[in-house]
Amino acid sequence: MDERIDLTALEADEAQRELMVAAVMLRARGELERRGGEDVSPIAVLSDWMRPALAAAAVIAAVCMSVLTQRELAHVEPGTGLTDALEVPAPMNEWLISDRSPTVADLLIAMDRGAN
Amino acid sequence: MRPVDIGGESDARLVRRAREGDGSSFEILVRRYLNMAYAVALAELADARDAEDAVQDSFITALERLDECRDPAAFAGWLRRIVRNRARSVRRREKIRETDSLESAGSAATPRDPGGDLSRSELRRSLQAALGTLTEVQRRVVLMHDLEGYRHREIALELDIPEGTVRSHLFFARRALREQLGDAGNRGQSDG
Repeated sequence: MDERIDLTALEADEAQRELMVAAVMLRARGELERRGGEDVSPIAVLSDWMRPALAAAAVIAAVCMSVLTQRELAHVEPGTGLTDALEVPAPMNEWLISDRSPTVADLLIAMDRGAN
Repeated sequence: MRPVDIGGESDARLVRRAREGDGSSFEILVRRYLNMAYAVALAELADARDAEDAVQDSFITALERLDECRDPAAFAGWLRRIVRNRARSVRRREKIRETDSLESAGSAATPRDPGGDLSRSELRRSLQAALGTLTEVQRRVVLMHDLEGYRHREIALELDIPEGTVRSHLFFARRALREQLGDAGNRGQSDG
């Protein structure tokens, strides 16, 4: 166990402190003004811009999807299946219904039908 | 001498605002770390006025280079390095000046704050003279522990030396200071 040395005489007193703060703030004024008025860095601008831009893009995408879906489905007669409404090719519809992967032969046949 | 609790806002937040030119945030940082900066400067410089100048210069440098402070939450350590470097630079300059004008050394011994508390000034000069006899690492350790209030482990981390070495430096630094200061340096506070 040892005891501390009293070094408090080294500390700045209140008046000294206030003078130092005032001197620093006076000298800092120019730099603070420069910082307050300057254009922010490109990265900062980009990051500020990115978030609202992404939000706007998401809203536009949602609206577009909604409109397109309504327009696509508007001319579909009642009772038509979803795959028909979305104009999924018939062979693909069959594969989806039978829940199997198409073979090479299936693909060739489908391409041949499409060409005709 | 822990950072003065002013404003209650985190350093990181204040640094970010100061970067944008917010003077109030910068002033809070100045007030929060003024004591620490002054103690660090005094550890390097023998003269209180030089220490004050070094502190002021350091805060201005810190503001100008605020964008280089990669981790705003670690502002204190970053500022400490700026103050230490600045104080060392002043010390080197002072040494050169003293060498150039040795014949005028008598007038340089005149107290610079004649209007201040004489006993405090005398004690300060005695302390600074005594600290001047320590090795650099001893001086840093004793100031960080006994003036700034750092714990052994924190000093070890800051100076990148083992904790046992910190204790050893502290022991020998205190013993050397006591020998030179007599009873004036005893605070009567238990070690922490």
